[in-house]
Amino acid sequence: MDAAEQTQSLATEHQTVIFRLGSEHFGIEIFRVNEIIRLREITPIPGTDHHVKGLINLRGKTIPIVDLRLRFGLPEAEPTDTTRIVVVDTDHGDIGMVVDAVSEVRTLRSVDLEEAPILVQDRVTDYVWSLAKDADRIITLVDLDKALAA
Amino acid sequence: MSAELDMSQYIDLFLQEADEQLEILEQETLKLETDPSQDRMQVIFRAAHTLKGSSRAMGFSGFAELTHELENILDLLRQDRLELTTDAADGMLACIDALVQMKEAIAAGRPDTSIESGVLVQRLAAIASGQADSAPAPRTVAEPQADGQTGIDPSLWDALDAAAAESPVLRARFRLHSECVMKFVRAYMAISAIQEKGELLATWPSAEALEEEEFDRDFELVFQTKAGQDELSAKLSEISEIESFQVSPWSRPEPEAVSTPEPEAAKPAEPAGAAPDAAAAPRRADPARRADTGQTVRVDVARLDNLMNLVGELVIDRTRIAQIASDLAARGGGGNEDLQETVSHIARITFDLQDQIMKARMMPIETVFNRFPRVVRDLAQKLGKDVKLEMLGGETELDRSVIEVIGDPLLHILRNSIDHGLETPEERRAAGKSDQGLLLISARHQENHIVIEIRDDGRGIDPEKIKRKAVSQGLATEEQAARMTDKDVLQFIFGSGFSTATQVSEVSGRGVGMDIVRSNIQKLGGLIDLDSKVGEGTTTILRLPLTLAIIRGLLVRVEGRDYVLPLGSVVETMLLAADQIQRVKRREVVVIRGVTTPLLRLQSVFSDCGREDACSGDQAFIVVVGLADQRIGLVVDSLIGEQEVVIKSLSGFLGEVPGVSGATILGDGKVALIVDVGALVSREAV
Repeated sequence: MDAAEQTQSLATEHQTVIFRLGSEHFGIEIFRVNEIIRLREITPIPGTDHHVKGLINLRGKTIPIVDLRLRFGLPEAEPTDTTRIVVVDTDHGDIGMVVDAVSEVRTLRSVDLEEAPILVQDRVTDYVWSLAKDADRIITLVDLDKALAA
Repeated sequence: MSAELDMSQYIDLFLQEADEQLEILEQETLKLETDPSQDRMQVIFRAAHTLKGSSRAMGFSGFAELTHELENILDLLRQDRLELTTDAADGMLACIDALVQMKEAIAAGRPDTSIESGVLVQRLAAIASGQADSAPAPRTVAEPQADGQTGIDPSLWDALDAAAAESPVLRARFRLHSECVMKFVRAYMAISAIQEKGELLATWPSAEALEEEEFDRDFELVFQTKAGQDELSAKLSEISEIESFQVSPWSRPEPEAVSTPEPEAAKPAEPAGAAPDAAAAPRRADPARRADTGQTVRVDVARLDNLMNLVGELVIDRTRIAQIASDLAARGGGGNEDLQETVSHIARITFDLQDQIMKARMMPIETVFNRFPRVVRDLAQKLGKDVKLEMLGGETELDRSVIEVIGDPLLHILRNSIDHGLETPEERRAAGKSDQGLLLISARHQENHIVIEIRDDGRGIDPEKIKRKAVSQGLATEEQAARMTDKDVLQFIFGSGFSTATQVSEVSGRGVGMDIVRSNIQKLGGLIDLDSKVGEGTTTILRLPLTLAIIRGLLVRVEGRDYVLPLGSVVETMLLAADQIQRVKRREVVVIRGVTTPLLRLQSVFSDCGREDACSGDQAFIVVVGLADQRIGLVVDSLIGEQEVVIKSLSGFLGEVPGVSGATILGDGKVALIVDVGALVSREAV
């Protein structure tokens, strides 16, 4: 996306799926989300990265599952009733992300978005696309392609 | 231009047809050199003719011009007015190559004229003019006429011209489906449709010939009508088994036997003929029928894959329903016999469905073999060798997943045979062999595998030469080399960077090759073996699974999780007492019938806790697996049983996972990993 396109897309409304990891709120564009499912049995794959939890069976397809907490450098947590897998569409096919809870779909307007401060653009947080202020909370918009790079 | 928009929907159709016809052209042209039969000539001519017609209708002038020149040569050939020289065959093949390039250009959205063809057109014209007699030869009535020309008896032309002077005379050209069984009935239906609306003036072939069915697939009707062309076309398009038809105003053929492109170019949006209505479109969308392939339907492979996935789900649900039914039976006692019956019926149907879909994915290996004659011919010519290629068992079927990946390895082996194996005619004569070298490629089924053999009767591989090479490249010491059997020595050929060719040629000798071939074959779960006798030739034997989509696997359990070992690489299973496991140089081994076999605990591969070899319990299940001659024993917690599993490749997101070749979904819906036995064996074996 070049600068012009970026400006263009910022000028529009973003349908965003909001989810939670610990006390932090994150958002991803809704058109990347295929479905949201409950946590199910995950078959671990030895020899893969720490944040790769393994494979699940999604209606006859096997798709890899990433623990987004571990990917984002947050401490691991036990699954709860609200834990969900968000299945997103990527260049490598469907990938599932384990999140603590999916809260809602929000329409974020371009004016609500601001550039990620330099401060958070370090190695672990290179997935941040931008930040949005929504009521009294801050939503971190995730760059999926970076967060889920192979 | 607006015509372009109209054409776009036909481009895919055109490309598909071009693919088919070009392949026929190439295959048959190659065979023509050894077997110049009249039938074969007709097949080629028809393919060229079809291509010319469709490319012209699509407005691809470069393509049409080339096919036209090709058709000219073919026409002369089939009338025996031109001899099929190597030069002529080369010209024709070069033309086919250019056509393939043009087709690719069109597919990529570039104009066909972006491929330079002027020189080629001249070359073909020169070949064609090499014939002595340029007067048009009398045509036999049953032959299809060149595009746009009428077959009507010239003695009737004057009368038709006269009629045309009073009111317009139309000419309709019909082509029947290749498997049309009642040709006269179809022709009669066309005739009565026309007579309903007007007056029939002439036919080609003659009315009697039509009645006796003395024609191939084409016939022509000339008539006057007051009905509009659209109305008539709609009527004609209702007649079944007519593949295509075209209505045009009657005009006396031009004296020169070349048709004019203008009438067709004027209405390029109607490649199927003059029928603009939807009823005519399906006829056009059925090019497969022309290839005499019987009742077939084209299906996108992605759809078959989807079907396979769906069946996989069905299989899983079937197991669940069976479980629920038996739970109910245990709880409720009686009263659900119907349910049990239905469950077992569903189970049977699901099994059949799976079987049928597997079969639908099978393709004859011919599709791979068909590439070879051309390659062999070109290569032999380049290297000054005389090679006769024989192919057997082309009808042997295997899954398309295997078909897709074996082409390149096979081609590589063929190249090796021609370059290194077979000698030049002089060398062969000196060795007391016939001038022509034989290259035999055969395929056959053997149990659940397909065996492909590539045999040449060339000079064979000299083990001494390989030993010297291996020593000079530091792959073995003199002493080691001296102790090796000939069979062991041949294994060097599969080593990376190994080449015995003294000169690096364009074809081979760079030493990248057989190692890649072997690793590709192994990735498919196949085996490759070599057999060679000096002076007598070399045989390469490939053993491949029939499918990569479903394998039989042995289910084993390690630390509460199930893993699949491909049954093809399982040699035997055994239960050992703990004290039978010995340690040699810090490694666990077991002696099986006098052979020391290294052991590998699967849990050490598949758990994070590292190499753990404290023997739990006093017994251990061992699965002996092998790759070629190497054997290792995998230690597992328990054996679950054999099962057919559908292989799912790992997501690209995961990259290469050591020790794992894929995943599958088990009957209970759980995901199980498939163990990459080949990798483990090469890693562990001594």
